[in-house]
Amino acid sequence: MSDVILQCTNLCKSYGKKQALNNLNLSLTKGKIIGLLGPNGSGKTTFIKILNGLLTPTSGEAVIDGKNIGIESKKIVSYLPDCVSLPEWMKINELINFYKNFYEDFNSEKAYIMLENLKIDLDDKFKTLSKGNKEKVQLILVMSREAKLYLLDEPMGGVDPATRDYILNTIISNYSENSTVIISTHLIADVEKILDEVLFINNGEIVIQDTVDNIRDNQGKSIDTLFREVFRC
Amino acid sequence: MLGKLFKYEFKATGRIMLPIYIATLVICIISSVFFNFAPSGEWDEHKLLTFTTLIIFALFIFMVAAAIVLSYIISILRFKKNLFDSEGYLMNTLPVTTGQNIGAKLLTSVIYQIFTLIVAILAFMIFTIGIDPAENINMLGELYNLFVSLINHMTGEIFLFTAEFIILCILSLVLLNIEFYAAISIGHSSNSSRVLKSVAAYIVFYVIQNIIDSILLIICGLNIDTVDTNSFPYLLFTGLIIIEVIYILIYYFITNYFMKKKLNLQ
Repeated sequence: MSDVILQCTNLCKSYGKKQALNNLNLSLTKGKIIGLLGPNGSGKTTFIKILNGLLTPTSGEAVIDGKNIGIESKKIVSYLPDCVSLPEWMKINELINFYKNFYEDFNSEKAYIMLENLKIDLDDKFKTLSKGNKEKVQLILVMSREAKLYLLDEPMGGVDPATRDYILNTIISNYSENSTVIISTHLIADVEKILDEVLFINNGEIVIQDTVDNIRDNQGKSIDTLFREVFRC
Repeated sequence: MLGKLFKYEFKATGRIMLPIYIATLVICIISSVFFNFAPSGEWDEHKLLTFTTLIIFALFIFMVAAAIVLSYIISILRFKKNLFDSEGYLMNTLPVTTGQNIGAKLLTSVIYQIFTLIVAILAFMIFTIGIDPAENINMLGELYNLFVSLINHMTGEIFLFTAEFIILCILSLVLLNIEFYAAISIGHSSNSSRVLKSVAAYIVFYVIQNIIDSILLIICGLNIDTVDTNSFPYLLFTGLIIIEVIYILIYYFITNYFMKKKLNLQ
């Protein structure tokens, strides 16, 4: 049984003249929390959208747990977009049932417990929640799936520090041993403490792939410091 | 999966259509009451009441027309909102095919559009039944007898004809919706002016379809002598059905392609 959760070979994506992904090659092993770090426009979101099937690459391929991007890969990938994407008219209960209906790996018990801890009423309509709570509910639903690969696109954008801590805690406490989590963010100082590995992406290519321990021990720098060096304007 | 998608889409659309149906029937009942109890004759004496009745009647007609138009507008809006706006991040990453997503919307739209027509007919029946209850109920009875005798005399031919007619009506509904969907999927593959481009795409479809239809009509007209008059209606209907199915398939493939390969959520 292969150890590799994600294999990307010469992945390219262009929009007209603009090259968003430029021969991206990557191999990721299972069971890690990985930070996908890069400045705005580096290709982070494009890369994630290709992995969850929202975009098709111009050339090259991406294989998730041995499966091509399609229905089979969508069954094992849990995706958190960087915007609120749940139907506003549904009640929280109905949202849980929705996920349960479409995803076999959805663990509704987990979701109920996390929502109860946040004191969110299951009978409330999603649209009545505050922005912060909406983001938390979305995260809870995504992390309640027992997926093999979690793709979190800017999970902490636009929320207060306490919520950011909550989000990070939810991520660590809900991913199982063999699952892989890819967090795309530029709030590095916050996320650094939970990362095993980092991928620095720039101009559509992976420029650094290393473990956090290596960087800290061998280079004696925090990820945040390294980021500022590598991507100095 | 199609069943599950259909269930949610049916519910989501029902939330909007149900109040419209209720409003239509309420206005129908109110205007029926006014109309039937409005005094006739002396316009001068009961100006206000007669005027109110006329307004309410106009409102009734407007409401029924609005309900029918809304059943199409909502089909278009739901398709765009649920698949191309922020909900698209959820719907397009579900473990379902694009075909299933399209199918669920199509099925729901056609069903609600048929419902709306039934509600419109019901509304008119309720409205007119008040005018002269006895006579209307008589008329209904006569209609029913006519219908029964028609069925009893139904030969294979008439049955085929009726079936083809119904199929043609349903296909026309499907075509109307899938044409909108194709236009939306093309317009929304763009980065800017998405709605404008969707409208432009629809206009292009409309024009091309009309040109093709005209050409086909001319071809039919030129060959009309070769067809014997008995089989003409069936040939016509069969031909129309085939053409509609081809159009539907073309628009479906366009929608599927653009959603699968050119999806551009923002």
